[in-house]
Amino acid sequence: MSENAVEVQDLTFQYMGASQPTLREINLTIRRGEIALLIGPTGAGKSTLYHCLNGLIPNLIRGRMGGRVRVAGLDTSEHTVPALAQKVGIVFQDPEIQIFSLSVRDELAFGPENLGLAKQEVLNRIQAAAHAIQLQDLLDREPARLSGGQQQSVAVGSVWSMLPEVVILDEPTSNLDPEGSVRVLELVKRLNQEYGKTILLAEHKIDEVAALADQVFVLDRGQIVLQGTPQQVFGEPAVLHELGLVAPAAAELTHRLKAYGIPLEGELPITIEDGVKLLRRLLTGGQPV
Amino acid sequence: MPAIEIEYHKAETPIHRLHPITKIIFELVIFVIAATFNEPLYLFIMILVVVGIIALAQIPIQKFRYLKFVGFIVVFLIITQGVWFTSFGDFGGTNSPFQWHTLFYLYPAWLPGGPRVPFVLEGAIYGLALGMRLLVISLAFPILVITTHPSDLVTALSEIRIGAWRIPYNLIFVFTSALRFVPTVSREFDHTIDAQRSRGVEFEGYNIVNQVRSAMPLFVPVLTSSLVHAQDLTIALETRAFGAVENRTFIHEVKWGKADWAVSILLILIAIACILAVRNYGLGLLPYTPQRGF
Amino acid sequence: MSSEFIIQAREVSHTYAGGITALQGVTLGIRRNEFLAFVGANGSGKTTLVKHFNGLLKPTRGSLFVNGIDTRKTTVSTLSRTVGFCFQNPDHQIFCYSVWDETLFGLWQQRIPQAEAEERAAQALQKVGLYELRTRHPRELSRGQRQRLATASLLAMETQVLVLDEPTTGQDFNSRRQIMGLAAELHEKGRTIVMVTHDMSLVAEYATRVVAMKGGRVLLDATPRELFQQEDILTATGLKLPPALALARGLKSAGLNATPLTLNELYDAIVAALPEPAKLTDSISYVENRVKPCPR
Repeated sequence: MSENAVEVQDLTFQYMGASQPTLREINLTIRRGEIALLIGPTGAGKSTLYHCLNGLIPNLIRGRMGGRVRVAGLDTSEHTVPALAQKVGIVFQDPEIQIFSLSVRDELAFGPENLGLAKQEVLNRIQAAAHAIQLQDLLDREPARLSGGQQQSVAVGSVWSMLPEVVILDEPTSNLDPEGSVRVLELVKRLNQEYGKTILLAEHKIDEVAALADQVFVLDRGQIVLQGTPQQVFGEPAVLHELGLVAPAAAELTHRLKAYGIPLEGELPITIEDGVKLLRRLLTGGQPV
Repeated sequence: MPAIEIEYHKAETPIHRLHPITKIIFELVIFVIAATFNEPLYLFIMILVVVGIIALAQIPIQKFRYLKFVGFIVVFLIITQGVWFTSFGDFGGTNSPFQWHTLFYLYPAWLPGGPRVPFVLEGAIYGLALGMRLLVISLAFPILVITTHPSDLVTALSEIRIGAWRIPYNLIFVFTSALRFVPTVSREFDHTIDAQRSRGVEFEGYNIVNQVRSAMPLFVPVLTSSLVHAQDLTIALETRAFGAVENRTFIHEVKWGKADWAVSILLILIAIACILAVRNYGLGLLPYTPQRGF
Repeated sequence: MSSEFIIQAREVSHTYAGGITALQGVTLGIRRNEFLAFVGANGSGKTTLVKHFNGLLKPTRGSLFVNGIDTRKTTVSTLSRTVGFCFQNPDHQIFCYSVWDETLFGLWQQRIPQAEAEERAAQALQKVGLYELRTRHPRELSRGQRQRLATASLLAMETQVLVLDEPTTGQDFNSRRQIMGLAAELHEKGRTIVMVTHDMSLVAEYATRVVAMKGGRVLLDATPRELFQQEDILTATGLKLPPALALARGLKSAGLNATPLTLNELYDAIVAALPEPAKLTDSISYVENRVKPCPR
């Protein structure tokens, strides 16, 4: 079993009829059990990238693909979308278009039913998924009547019941209020920590997700322009600003203070807590540490 | 856009407990019988029966708001059939020397020239019968959808076998999901109406010109977003392995019980009885309509 | 009916057809040239309330006045000349065959004379940077460009009040800056801006006044700084402190006594609170610090 959950080598993709490639020479590796954060301006090619990861490209979407994509050991050009759907699942921004059923239970059952699994297996997976998303008591509720955060959880659950190794979440908190966002991000953390899922998360709300990431990729116009640990990536404010992106507040503040000659040493703070710790030393220590 | 409320309504009634196939048989039988009879009295009895069933199924009246439109169509039919009936030779083929009762003429008798377009009573009655057929069917059709949980319907439809052939799941999914997306599309309409009204577009007003003019700002955005939704939906389906295997599993089970045997057989017998009554005894048929040859 | 308020709500309640009461007796007045933010969790009633401002919804009890006119006695069409609405999804309104026509549409509806309409449209498109693309079909534009198109068609209507419904949800930083920059500019020129959002950074950076709602009622009506000092209200409405304030709060025990609404303000506060403030290796003055572009 490969160590890497996702291996992308020199991936290039041009949609049929497009004048330019949407993705150019993408190289990225995500190890099993990691949480990878994908950031980039709108239109950078994120959706195209996901479609390459779950096999829609090249199986169903037409265009020219170069390079190689392996997910959980499977080469996406050599396997069908249903086979790949059991390795990687995608949760989209809008719960509306991902939820088809009249009950949470049916929604969680949808994927396994499509796979033709034995009925008992399907029922087991429903229970497991409901447990993972912590909605065991709401199995018979209508998804349309749930809150936004709960709906997104159901969407995650319906992907979870396919038992994928990798879960991709495309701006899952976009349409949610702060409470819903918290719920979904807690869920993501749990999927990773308790269930060992590899996560690829795309988000604009940097402050809320930066701390979760083991790795950060910055995508712009089809290319990965920056990648590394959060400290590495958010330690390049010039690059980020040019792309119209920002680092988490604590990091941004640290950069500003440093840029004006206030020496701050130590690891770049990503979370508010880390920022507070660093700045507290600055203010109370009497001299810059 | 008025919310079309033909969707599942949960309740515990004998109708709800029946197997979906039984209800499909019910729909077909209603259709056949309504097509057979054309005398208003018989059709009226059918309407009463259907209304009784609706009451038994505890379907709330609000689900039938669309009947307003049906009402307009009934009136339209009465008027047009009243005029069409003899004037345009539809029933010239009948060989019974029937006495038409003309109620009035559209073109007054005392004006020189022109065809005297009569409004005939029998025509109006025929129009009424046509309208009532429509009414019966419009009343009966939603019963299937309102009293059947979509998952049960899906399971039932997927279990139908004719020899080795069965209904492809894709088709079943399309049919049942279309209903699920009615509220989504309805909401799209609402958002679009809000957005356009905020720019000064008026959607109220019974002026027909206005209605046509305000169709574009309403339908174009909704259609576009529906197409986009459809695309997104396709991708969402693919990621859940839609269509992966021939033998899809269904966790919902529907059981065919004694009540189902009883009701189905009864319905089929009634259908046969009605057809025979019309064919052999001419019951339920207006005397001046040609037998629609069986 | 005071002319002090351009929008005045008196005991406004609204119950939807399904029986849900989304607003319970809200009374407030909006003055000209305010930049007002409505905040609260989903379902708190904030969107329901702002939809009353242009008559999309009418109060089921109570009354609402726009420029002194009772909204129940007038049409959305008339009110849309005073109150313009910017919706989240531009695709809910775009339907014309060209960017130019789309921008003009609202003006045609208001029967503005063609010459004036064209001038307004041209200006609006230039403001959002779409003038060169005016003959294109909207479908040829990217999502961000379509959002700008919807904004342009709204700008062209030159309404006194602009309502922004979740202006930055799902937007990347660039779009966010563009939209809010435009709103700030309009505000400077005297317009009244009303914003519905959950993004507390927006509230901190742009609003002059904020109304926090819960369960159809107003919990607090104050300046952003005052709101951020009331933790119980924030928790009750399910809102979080914007990062600058969260950082500042953590540094309170280190002697930082400030309620900075933006990172810039926090930076200033920290530099001012440093034990030896002149410990800068370059001799860049504090004023120049402020001028250097930094994402707010």
